[in-house]
Amino acid sequence: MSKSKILDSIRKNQPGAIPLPEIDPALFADEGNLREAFTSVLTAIGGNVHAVNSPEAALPILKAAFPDAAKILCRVEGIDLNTVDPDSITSAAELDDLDLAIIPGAFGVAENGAIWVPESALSRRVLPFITAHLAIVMDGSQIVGTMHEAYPRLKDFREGFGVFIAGPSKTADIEQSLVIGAHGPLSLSVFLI
Amino acid sequence: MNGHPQAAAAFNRDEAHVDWHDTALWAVRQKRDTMAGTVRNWESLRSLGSQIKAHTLSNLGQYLEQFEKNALQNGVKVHWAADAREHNRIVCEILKQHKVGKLVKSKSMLTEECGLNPYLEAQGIEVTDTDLGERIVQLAKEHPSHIVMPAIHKKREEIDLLFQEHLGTRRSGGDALYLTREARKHLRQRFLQADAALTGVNFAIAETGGFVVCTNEGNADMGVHATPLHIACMGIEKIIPAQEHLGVFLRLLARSATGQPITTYSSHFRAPAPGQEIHIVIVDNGRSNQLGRPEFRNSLHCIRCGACINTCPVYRRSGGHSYGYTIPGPIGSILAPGKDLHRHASLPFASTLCGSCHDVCPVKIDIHKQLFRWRQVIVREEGADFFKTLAMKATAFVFARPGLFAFGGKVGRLLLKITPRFLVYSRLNSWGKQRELPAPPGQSFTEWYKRERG
Repeated sequence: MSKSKILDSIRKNQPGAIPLPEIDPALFADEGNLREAFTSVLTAIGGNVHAVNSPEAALPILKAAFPDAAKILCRVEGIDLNTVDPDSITSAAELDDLDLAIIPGAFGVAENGAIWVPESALSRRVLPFITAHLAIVMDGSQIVGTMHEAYPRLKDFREGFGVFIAGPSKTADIEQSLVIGAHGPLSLSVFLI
Repeated sequence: MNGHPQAAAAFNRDEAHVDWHDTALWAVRQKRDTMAGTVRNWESLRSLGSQIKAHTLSNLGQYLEQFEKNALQNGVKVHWAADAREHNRIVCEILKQHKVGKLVKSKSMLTEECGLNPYLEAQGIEVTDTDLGERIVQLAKEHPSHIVMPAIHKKREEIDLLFQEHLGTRRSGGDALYLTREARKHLRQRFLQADAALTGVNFAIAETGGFVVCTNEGNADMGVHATPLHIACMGIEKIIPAQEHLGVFLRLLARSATGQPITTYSSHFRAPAPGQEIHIVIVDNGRSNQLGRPEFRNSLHCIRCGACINTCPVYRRSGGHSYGYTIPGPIGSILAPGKDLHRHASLPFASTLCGSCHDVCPVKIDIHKQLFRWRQVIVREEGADFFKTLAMKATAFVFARPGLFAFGGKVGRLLLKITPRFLVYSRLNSWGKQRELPAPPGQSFTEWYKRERG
């Protein structure tokens, strides 16, 4: 059987034990305002960041930014824009014409503008990828400095799927010309409360 | 035997395109430098990456078993493949069991290495590569020329023609925005019609049994979440011990690859969604042999960022296809000889040994030293070219005799001055094919030193 064959070969060939180093997050921590750093990095990678006082305050901004959005799926309390019942969706194909998805983000990472989105924040895993435009609403106090501080927060995470989202989808596969909007959303709006 | 020099000569025929290729890749290297410069204690981060990988390789068997146990507990199915053939057979069997006719794939250099696409196509399965660069090379019936930028060798005009032919686009002169939007529409249909999705694995976590897939385009997630079957293929070296180590590698990967702070999507898979299945195929295909070669072992640290490729002066001017191996550039040139020494014997010589690859490697693989070691193995086992052996012997003879060396220098300087150009740049002078020889100095260093200090 291949499993034992592979493991035998590995055990025969692997070197003697080499110690595992400790990671000291303090070594990599930057000083400065996390919210400002997060906003500036996320803007640089193509995200639109808005500071708001409440989820409700995102409503007029979203309406102005996406005046033609006909099909909207919202997973955030306080933003009354849903045009579809999330529970009625039974396949990815039914979301193909989704114009806008609005979802909550768990926390952000200042060094790279990434936002952690667990599966429980979504009605379906495909949601933040298949939508034409994506908006994430997040508590602005929930921002850590680096990825070394992000993973301790996920220590007890047991869900089947979660994703760090950093900006809109993009590609530069044609002669290195950057195009925002590849297979995922064409834009990302982030609302920091 | 046709090797790197012959293939590189073909790439070098279009000089303007070589210049573009060279400049474009150097720009990516510069972006990497800028990004690395913004990270506090970047060098310590590289050391951590290297040490975690070294530790993992020293416990690889244990970590793989721990990973399998946890993955099974999560409801994920795990398969083991000793070689490419077994890998292809396993993937095909899973697809057949699920009656899959259409498969969408995101980028996986491992499946390229195994030749999975032609294998599945021969079994009647329609395979669509969904990374834009990979789709371009698939339509052109070529292979990726770079592990991160698969179509970097292609000019926009070529892509324009390719899309006109296959996607029915209008002539756009290579408008990247228009072509990308058209590819989005075309591939969106493929995602929604597919029966299964296949992805690579960037990192597999022993502690949780989960794995992480990184993309910028969102193509891996589109395929996986739109279909009921997800197959993830990974080499045995993709294992890391615990989730906290992702912090180190996700910080290193995109910054080294493209100069981004992180890829747009870092997707963490642990268990299938309701109604879905996840299968992981763990592949050896020569890796455990490489593990047993102490002097080449740390080539298995590689996280496939491509930084060594972008910085390599030889790669930038010879193109990825000149290497004739799935993984081109410096890292490919130390991995390929371990797979098939005879076939890839020219690759370790496709280097200036400048060491730039080692300088940028996020997990500190001493690529330049391994290239040199492979050269020694190759000359020992494969022998060297007759003229090269002769030249080396002659050089050694002269260098061992200072009087002869000084005399030879004098004669050489004189001859270079008086010999007509067509003779100096005759076919015997392969160095001078695309280069001017430096002007001969009036005196040797020894002569100058004696006059100045004597």
